[in-house]
Amino acid sequence: MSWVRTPHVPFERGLGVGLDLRYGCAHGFVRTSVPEGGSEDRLAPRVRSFLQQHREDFVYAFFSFQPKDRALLDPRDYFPIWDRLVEDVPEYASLALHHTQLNLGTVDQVTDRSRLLDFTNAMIDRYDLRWVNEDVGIWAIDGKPMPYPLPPILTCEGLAACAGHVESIQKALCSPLVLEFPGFSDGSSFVLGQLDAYDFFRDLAEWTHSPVTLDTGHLLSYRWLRGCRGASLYDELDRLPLANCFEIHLSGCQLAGGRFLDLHHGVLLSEQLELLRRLIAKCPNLKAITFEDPKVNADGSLPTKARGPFEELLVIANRWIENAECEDRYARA
Amino acid sequence: MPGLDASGWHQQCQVLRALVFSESRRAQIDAADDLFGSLVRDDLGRFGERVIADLCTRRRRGAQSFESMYGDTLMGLRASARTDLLRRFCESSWFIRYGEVGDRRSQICFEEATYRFLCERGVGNEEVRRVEFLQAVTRALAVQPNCAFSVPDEVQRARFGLFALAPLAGKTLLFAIVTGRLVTGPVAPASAAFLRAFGHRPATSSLAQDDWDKVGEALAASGIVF
Repeated sequence: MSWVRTPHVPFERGLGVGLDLRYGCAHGFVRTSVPEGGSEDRLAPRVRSFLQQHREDFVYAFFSFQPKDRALLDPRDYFPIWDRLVEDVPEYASLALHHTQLNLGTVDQVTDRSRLLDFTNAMIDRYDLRWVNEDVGIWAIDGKPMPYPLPPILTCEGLAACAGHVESIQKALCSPLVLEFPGFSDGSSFVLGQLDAYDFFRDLAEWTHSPVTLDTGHLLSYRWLRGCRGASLYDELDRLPLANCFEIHLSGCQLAGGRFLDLHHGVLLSEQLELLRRLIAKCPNLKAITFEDPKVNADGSLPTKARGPFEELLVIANRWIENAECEDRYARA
Repeated sequence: MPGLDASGWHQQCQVLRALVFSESRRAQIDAADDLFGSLVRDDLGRFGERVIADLCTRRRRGAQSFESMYGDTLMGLRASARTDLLRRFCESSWFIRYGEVGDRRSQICFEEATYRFLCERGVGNEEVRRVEFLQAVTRALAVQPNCAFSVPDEVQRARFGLFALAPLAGKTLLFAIVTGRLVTGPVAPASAAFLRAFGHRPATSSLAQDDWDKVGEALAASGIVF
């Protein structure tokens, strides 16, 4: 995969955690009083506690960038908050950024991204963020944020437009841009276009020589939308850009009332774990598996429903990591 | 990699915009079918409801939901009528101009876009509507002085910050951001006149210069200096 700008990370294989840090949210940044008077945004104590409890399990973390208000983006507004964030989390081998503003599938006329890209590079530089990823999709239209990112328009024109945006942003970012397969959560998005999303994503990754993130919930949501059930949920994986896969995400999903819901509530489905096993076998350049958006109790523990699947994830991930170590010893022997 | 067919892409983008934000366009699915070849009506309907719900309830620091911003203006409207109002807002020209993401100083904030829309439709009491708008927008401007949207015309810039005045039940209310602090409340007629004139006593003023200066000194004690 020498032609792909793969993130440089100090581990061969690792399990990490991804956190969506919204302001004023119980699992994000909360207003915390300071002794000198006033208050500041700080990582929610329950999340801090969860990360401490699992500091041996995760070698890296990514943080989602969420704007805290409607001000023009200025990194100086975020440095104090993120400086405290880095103090509050364990020392990880790598940190990364899950962006929400790149809008890779945008339908808007984009004339100037310089403020956004300068902001992102300032964050990359200060926190040594090893990669930046974002779901390929439409996060905002004409300045209006979507409640959930829409998939890109799945047409030849949509693909060409998307590739143009990806290339433009790749050139400007100081760390590699990792493309994430978009979600198709029932009720939160709809699909426009005749192209198969797997083919669209593969073509996009290959044309732009991009590393990719395969999100198990997103892949399953697409297959579910296409009417696949049971074993057919796992079919056609070979249409995806498997050789470009750097990272796999697992965030909580639910099947309810015949609908597939990408809830990010921390409870993994058995289907996601099965898909993870299959993808591990098919992705030769996979380096990172991320447990995304855990939702924890006030004491930092996982709710009962989430524990079993999480422990199963640990088993799968640790076996995959150990296999790398075995393969490495074998190669050196 | 093939090049982009610009006109075809432009058409697809326009159709997507209409489908996302416009209930009336969503009803015209056939036109979109020609372009995209596949569409699911139920999905579109649910997504549209989600967009409306998100606009109604989304809170971000310095921002309020539609219902909490215009609680008194909307009083007496049933929930269904309020939802219907928001649907129509999504089809209005004010919605097109509204934006909160990106570096577009030409975009107007949600507070202003909804206010202009409600004015156009004559919803609620005019004075109450204006007061609620100014409360909401000055609060937003206090939180993000370097805002990514244009400052509404009703809000004046001054050396000390920003301010606006609004009549309510025979009184005048001041909404001001004074060195970053939000200051609101009724002001005496003389203070209102002083503010409207940016501190310059007009020749036609009924106040003598000394009294005018005293008004200025009192305002200056609150940080309001022109």
